[in-house]
Amino acid sequence: MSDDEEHYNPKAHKKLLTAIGSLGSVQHIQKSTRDERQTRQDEFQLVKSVRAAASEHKPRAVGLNDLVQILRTSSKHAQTGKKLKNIQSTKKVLEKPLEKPAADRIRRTIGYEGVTKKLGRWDAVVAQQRSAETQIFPIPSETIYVNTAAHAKPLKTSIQSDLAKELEASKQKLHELRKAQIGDTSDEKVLAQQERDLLQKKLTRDELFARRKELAYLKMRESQKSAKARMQNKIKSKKFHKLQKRQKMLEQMKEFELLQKTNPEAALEKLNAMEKIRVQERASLRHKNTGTWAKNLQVRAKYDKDVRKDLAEQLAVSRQLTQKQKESDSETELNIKPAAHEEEEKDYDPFNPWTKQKTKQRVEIDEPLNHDDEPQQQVDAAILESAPEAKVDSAVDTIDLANVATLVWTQKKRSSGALNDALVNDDEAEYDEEDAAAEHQLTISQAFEDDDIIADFNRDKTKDSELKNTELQLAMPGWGSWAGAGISHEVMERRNKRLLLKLAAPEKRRDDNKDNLFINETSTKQARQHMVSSVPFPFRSLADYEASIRAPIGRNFVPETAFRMLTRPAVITRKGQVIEPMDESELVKPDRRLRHIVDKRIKRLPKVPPKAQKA
Amino acid sequence: MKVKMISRNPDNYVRETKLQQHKMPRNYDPSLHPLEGPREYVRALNATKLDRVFAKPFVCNLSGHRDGVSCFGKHPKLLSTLATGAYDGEVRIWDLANRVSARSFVAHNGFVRGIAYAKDGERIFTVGDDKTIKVWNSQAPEVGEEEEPVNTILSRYGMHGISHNRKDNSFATCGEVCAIWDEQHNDPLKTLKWGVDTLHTISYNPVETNVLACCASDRSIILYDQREAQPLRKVVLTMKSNKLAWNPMEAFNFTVANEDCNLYTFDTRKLQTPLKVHFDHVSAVTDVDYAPTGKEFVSASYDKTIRIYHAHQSHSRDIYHTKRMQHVVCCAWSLDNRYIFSGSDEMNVRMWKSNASEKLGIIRPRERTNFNYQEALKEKYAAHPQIKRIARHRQVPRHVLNAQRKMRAGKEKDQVKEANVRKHSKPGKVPYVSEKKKHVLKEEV
Repeated sequence: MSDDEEHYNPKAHKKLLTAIGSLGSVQHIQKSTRDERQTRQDEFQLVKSVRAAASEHKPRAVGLNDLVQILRTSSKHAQTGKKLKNIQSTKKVLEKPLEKPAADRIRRTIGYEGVTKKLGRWDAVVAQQRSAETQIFPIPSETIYVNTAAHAKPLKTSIQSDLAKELEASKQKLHELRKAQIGDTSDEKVLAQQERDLLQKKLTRDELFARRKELAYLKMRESQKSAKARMQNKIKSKKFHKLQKRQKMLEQMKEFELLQKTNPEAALEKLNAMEKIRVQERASLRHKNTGTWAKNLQVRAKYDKDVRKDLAEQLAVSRQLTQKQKESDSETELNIKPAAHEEEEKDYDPFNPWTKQKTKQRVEIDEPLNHDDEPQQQVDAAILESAPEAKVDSAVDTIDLANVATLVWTQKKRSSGALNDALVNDDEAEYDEEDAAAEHQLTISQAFEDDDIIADFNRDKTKDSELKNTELQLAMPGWGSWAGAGISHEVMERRNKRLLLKLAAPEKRRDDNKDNLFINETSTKQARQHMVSSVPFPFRSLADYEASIRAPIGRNFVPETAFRMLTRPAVITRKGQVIEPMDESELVKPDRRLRHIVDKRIKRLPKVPPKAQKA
Repeated sequence: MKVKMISRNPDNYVRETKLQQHKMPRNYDPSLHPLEGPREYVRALNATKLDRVFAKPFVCNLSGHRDGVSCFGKHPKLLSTLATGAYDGEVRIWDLANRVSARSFVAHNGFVRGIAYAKDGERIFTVGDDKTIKVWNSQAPEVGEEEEPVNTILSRYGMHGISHNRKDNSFATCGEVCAIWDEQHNDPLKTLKWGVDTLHTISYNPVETNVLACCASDRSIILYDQREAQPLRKVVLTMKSNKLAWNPMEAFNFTVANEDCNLYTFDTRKLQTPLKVHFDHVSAVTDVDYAPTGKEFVSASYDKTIRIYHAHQSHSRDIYHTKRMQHVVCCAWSLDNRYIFSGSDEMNVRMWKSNASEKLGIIRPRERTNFNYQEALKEKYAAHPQIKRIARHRQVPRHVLNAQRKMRAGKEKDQVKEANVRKHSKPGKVPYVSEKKKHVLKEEV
C-alpha cells in the first residue's frame, strides 16, 4: 500500500476520475469526432460514446415479455396482457428462409425433373423410329383437311329432314284441332290394331296359296336332285369322280375344323375314323404302283407326260393317306411341336416357294464354317455301324475292321464304296455263324493284304507337319574351316549350333488326337482368308448368322417382290427437300400409314419363328 | 400323220406398252442355283470395291473470305443458301447451287462469333466481338443501297455464340451470361448465370424448343430451360467442350465436341455417363453438327480433317481431308442430308458429299434398284474379312497417321501400367473403370 502512495500516477488518477464520472445512468452523447477514416457517416453525426457503451452492461432488445410485465401492473390491461402471453406461448415463429444457394439448388432440381419428364415423352417415338425397317425423310405428315371457308356448308346433324319435321308438326296440329272441335276421342292405338287385324285376315288367304306353291317347288327340287345324283353315279369319267371326291374331302376337312372349335369330342371321333382309314390304307396295296393299271401305265410313262403325272398323283394319294395326321389334342401338341418346329426352321425361307415343299440338299456358302462337324459325325456313324464286327473279331490278329471301315468313310465322304456295302450287308450273317464270319474276315484281309492302309493314312497325316519339324543346318561343308585341321571340336560345335536354324513349332492339327480322322487343312487355307472369324454383333448364334448368309437376296435367286423387300434401304431421303426436325405432332399421331407397296408387304410378312434354344 | 405345232399365247410374252419391261421368266428353285452364295459374295466384294473407287467426296471449294472462317448459319428453308462469318468480321451469303458468293458485308469489328437465321429465314442474327447483336435482312439490298443492319443491339456483356429458337421468336446468346432475347425487344428477357466462367457455345434443342445447352470454359456443359429462372444442371468433363449439337430426331440426345480429341453423346436424363464416346480424332474437336436424319453427325477438328460418325458407334465411318485444308473450325450438315460444309483457317469453305461414293444427278429407277441391291449386299457381307478390309481402308495424311500411332502407344502404355499396378496390389483395390466413366468428373445439381 505504501508503494502505491509513493508512486502517484497522474494519468491513472485522471482515468479513474472519468470512470467514476461516467457511472451515472445518464447517457453521455458527444459530438462524434473523426479520428479514423470511415466509409459511412452516421445520420446525425452523433455517436454514443464508446466508453459509455462499454461501461454499461450489454443492451437487450425489448421483448414481448417486458411488454406483458408492464401491462400486468395495471388492472385495466390485465386481460390484454394474458392474451399476449398466450399468443406468445402457443404460436410458432416462421423458420428463417433458406439461404440462396440452397434454395437455388432446390429450384434447379425441380426444373431439371420437369424437363426430364418432358423429354421422356419422346421415348416411344424414338424407339419406333430406331426399330423401323425403313425410315423416310422428311417425315410424311398425315393431314386432315377441314373446309374452314366462310361459305362452307355446315354438317347436317339431324336425321329427320326439315320437310318430315314440318309434316309431323302439322299432323299434330290437325289432330289437336279435331280433338277440340268434334271431340274425337278414338284412340290412335286401337285404330292401328284394327288396321293390322284387317291386313292379317287378308294375308292368310294369300299365304295359303304361297305355301302350297312353295311345297310344290320343294318337291320338284328333291326329285331333280335325286335324278341328278343317279345320273352322276353313272358317269364314267374318273377325273370327274376324282374331283368330286376331292371336293368332298375338302368339305369334310372344313367340317372337321369347325367341329374342332365347337365340339372337341365329336372332332376326336372323326379323327379316330381318319386314323382308321390310314391304317387300312397302309395295309392295302390300293394306291401303290403295283396294280395292273399302274404297271400298264408305267410302260407308257416314259413317253407320256400326263401318264407320269397320273402315276405321281396316285403315289401322292397313298402318301397323303398313310401320313400320320397332326393330332389336335393339347397334350400331344406339346410333344409334336419341337419336331415340327425344327423342320420348319431348317428350311424357313419366307420368300422362296420351293423351300416349303422340298428339303433338298443345298450347297452351303460357308462350308468351311461347319467343316469340322461333318467328318466327325460321319466317323461316328461308321464306328457305330461296324461296332459289332469289331467285338467279334477282337481275337483275330488281322487288320482292324473298324479302322478299315472308318478310313473308307473319311476318305470318300459320300461314296458308297463296295467295301462298305459288303460290310454292312454281311452284318446279320456274322451274328449267326461264326465260321462264316471268320471266312469272310479272311477274304477281306486277303483282299487288302498288300496295302497297309493305316500306315498310309498316318503318313499322309504327318506329311504336312514333317517339314516343319526339321531343323535346317545352315553350315556348309568347308565353311569356316579354312584354317585347317586342329580346330577344337568344341568351337566347331558351337559354330554349328549357331548356324542351326530352328523352325517354328508345328501348328497344332485339328485332328491331332483323333486317330481315325484326317482333316485336310491345306484345302481350307485358301478359303480361310474369306471366312468370318466370329459371329458379328446383332447375331447371337452361329446358326442364325449362317442362315442369314445362306438366304440369297439377288433377283436371280428370289422373286422380284421378295427382292424389292430385301433390298429396301433403311433410310430414304428425297433430293431437294428440307428435313425438318421431329415435330411434336409425332407424339399424338397414330401408326403411320405405309404408302409404298414394298413397305406394306414387309409389314404383312409373318415374323420369323423364334429360334429353338440350342444346348 | 399328226403334226404338232408349238403354239404360244402372245399375251404371255408380248408387252402391252413400250414402257413395260420384258418379262423375264426365272426358276427360283435353289437346287438350280448351287452357287448363289459364292456369286453374291463376289458381287458384294465388287460392290465394296466400286464404292471405294467412286468415293470422291469433294464437291467444290467456295473461296472469297479474306480471313479464316469462324462460323456457319444454315437457312432453315432454303437448301442453296449458307451464311458464313469470318475472323475479320465479314459475313458472306453463298449461293451453293451456283457456287458463288451472293452477298458479303462487314458485320462486326473483330470476329464474327455466331450466325443464326430466324425461324422463317427472313432475318439473320450475327454476334461479334464488338458486344453487338446485329439483325440483317436475308434479302440482299437493292442496287445502289448500302448494306445496313435492320437493328443493332448493344449488349452489356461480351458474346460468344447465338442460337435461334426453331418455333418462336426468341433467341439466346452466350458469353459472360446466357441471355434469352426476344426479336422485338432490345433488352434480354432473361439472363441466366451459373458460376463466373465464360460460356462459349449455345444451342437450342430443335425438338423440345424450350431447352437449351451451353458449354462453359470451366469444362462444363450447362442445361437451361428458357422458361425457368434458374439453370437446370451442369456436368463437368475432364476437358473443355468446344461445341454442342442436339440430335434433331431424338429430343433427349446431344453430342459435344471436346478438346480431348473425343466426342461424347449424352442422354439429357442421364448425364452421369455419356451414352457413347466417339474416338478417332487426333487433335481437339472444334465443331459438330448432326445430320437432319439424326442418324449421323459430322465433326471438324484441329487435326485438319473432318470425320463422319454414326450416332451410335464409337468409331468414324469416314474421314475427309485435302492437302490444302488447314485446321477446320466449323462444319455443317445440309438440311437435305446430301452435303457437308467445312470452314477452315485458310479462308475457304468446302462442300463435300455426305456419302462419299453417292452418284450426283438424276438416278434412274433401274439404277436406284441396283444401288439398293449393292447396299444390301454390302451390309449382308460386312463382317467378312476381305470386304471389311476394303470398306474400312482410308488414306489418311501422314501427320494424322503419326499422331494416331503416338496416341495408340500412349494408350497402350497406360493400359500396361494400370495392369501392372493391379497386379501388384490387393485384388479389388484397383477397380476396372469403363472408358465411358473416365471422362465425366461430376454432375452438379
